[in-house]
Amino acid sequence: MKNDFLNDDWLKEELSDEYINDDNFSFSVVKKIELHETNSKRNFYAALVAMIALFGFLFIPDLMMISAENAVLILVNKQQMLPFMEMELIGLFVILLSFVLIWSFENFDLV
Amino acid sequence: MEAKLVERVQRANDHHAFEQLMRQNQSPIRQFLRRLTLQNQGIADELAQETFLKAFVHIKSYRGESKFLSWLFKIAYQQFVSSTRKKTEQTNVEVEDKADDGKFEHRIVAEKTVKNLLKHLKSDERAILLLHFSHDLTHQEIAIVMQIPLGTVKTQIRRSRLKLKSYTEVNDSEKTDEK
Repeated sequence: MKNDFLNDDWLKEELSDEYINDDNFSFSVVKKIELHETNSKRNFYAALVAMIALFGFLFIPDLMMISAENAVLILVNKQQMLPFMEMELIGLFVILLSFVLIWSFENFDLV
Repeated sequence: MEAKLVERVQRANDHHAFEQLMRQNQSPIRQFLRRLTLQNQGIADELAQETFLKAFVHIKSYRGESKFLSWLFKIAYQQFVSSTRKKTEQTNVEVEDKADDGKFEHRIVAEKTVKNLLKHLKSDERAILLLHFSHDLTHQEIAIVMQIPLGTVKTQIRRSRLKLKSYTEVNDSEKTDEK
């Protein structure tokens, strides 16, 4: 046997293995993938909640102040409603943007 | 065909397409890991599952520059290396340590096949031999899979062959002494 170690064909034959194929293996991997995806979604929702909370924390005080000012002013001058509405729209836009960003992170598997 | 399946997984996380890819590629990956773990089927199959899971998660990073199977081998080898690092008490590590201390002679009596002799090689030497002779990867492909220089691959193959040859010579001389 010792002289054959320099023979490529002989080594290939010696090192060849029987073909392995069973559906249980694929099934187990698919289960693991599904579990991974569920966990990944959990991270996604956790990140989403954190983002919304952060944006809420940043914007709610401003929105509250503006709305308090406008609650009085609305009755006096309807034009004063505009800044408040604008702020509210910006807030909504930022929250929507965070949804889109997190969704794209999820798609690119960064979460 | 394979490229289309990969594309389907990349585009839409298609589980069915990935299952087909697994059916096509599970045999070489599992054989490779079984030999690397010295026929510890439980650990090998667990590593193979982790390999395919990792492949699914990171499939978007596969750009088709190498064969899909080579890419899987790369992940499988990385999984094996990181698992042996974590489990230092594993049997194969013990065998590797003993393989270099020159006291292996007594254990190799009755080892007649190359597959049995593989356990006297270090895991990286074993991986190179298996990828080249058992799975027909070129030197260049092995260099990419194992992230080592091309020259190292060639040297390791030659050295491992001589190492295996020397083990059989020791085995033969022991048998002659016994007579």
